[in-house]
Amino acid sequence: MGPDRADFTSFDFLVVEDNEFLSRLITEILHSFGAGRIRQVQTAEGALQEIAVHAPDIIFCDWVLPDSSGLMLLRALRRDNNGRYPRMPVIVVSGHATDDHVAQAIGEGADSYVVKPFSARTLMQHILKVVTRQEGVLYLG
Amino acid sequence: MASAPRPTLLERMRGPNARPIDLLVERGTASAAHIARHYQGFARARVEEIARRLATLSGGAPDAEWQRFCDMVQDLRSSSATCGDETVSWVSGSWEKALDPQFRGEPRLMAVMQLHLDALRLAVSENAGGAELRALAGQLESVVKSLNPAGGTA
Repeated sequence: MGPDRADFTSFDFLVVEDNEFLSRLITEILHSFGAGRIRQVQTAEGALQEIAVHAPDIIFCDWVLPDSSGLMLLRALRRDNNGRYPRMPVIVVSGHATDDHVAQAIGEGADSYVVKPFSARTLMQHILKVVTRQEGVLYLG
Repeated sequence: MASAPRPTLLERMRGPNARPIDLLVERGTASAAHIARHYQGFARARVEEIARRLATLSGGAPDAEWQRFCDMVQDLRSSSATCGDETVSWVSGSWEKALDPQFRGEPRLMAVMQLHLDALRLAVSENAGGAELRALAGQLESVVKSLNPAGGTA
């Protein structure tokens, strides 16, 4: 049985999305969920800079970014051998719904994969999935 | 003395300000609906960006150029679908099909792309009528189906 209540007031989210409309949409939804802190960047490079300043609790990352891609960002985070980036959940957000894309993202270390279009309920389900997975609690949303 | 371990995300989520998840989703849905009401202005600007990019795109453009263009159309499709704009989503989805690399050598591809651009401009205009858009959608479906792989002619 998964949680039926949630407190995100201490959570720090990083939204990596170059589509300013979708970035605003995700941010407003997270704000409605009561998120304590939400940072927005449009590029993978910007994301790495933000993460270096303060590691977020959960990252929402678009798969297609102007300077590189969500894949490059995932690789930078997961293949880091210098301990610069702690293990933090990454939820990929993508317009590509093929099995190949999902498998590649998960294979590279994504914790979850949201296919656009998405709803507020979908975002909540993916947040709960990555939060509960850390302690082996199964969320069936 | 060793410091206490940092609470896990799950422990923090069970904090003192916990609210019913259904209530949070309801609030998020209301926020999303509010934001989506402003989508058409964004879509209009994005369609004009696509038009500018299309003007510089030729059949012989490098794959990377085509990929960037595909990403723009796909971004419009997914953002419009998320914001509930079914017409823009449908037209950009149809355009995505026409952008499949197998049609890259089709002599009519540029004309088909222009038709999709015209349809998108109509879809984001404030004067578009439902009947007009439905007729256009039918035409787009036919022309995309008539495209031949590897540039052959129908």
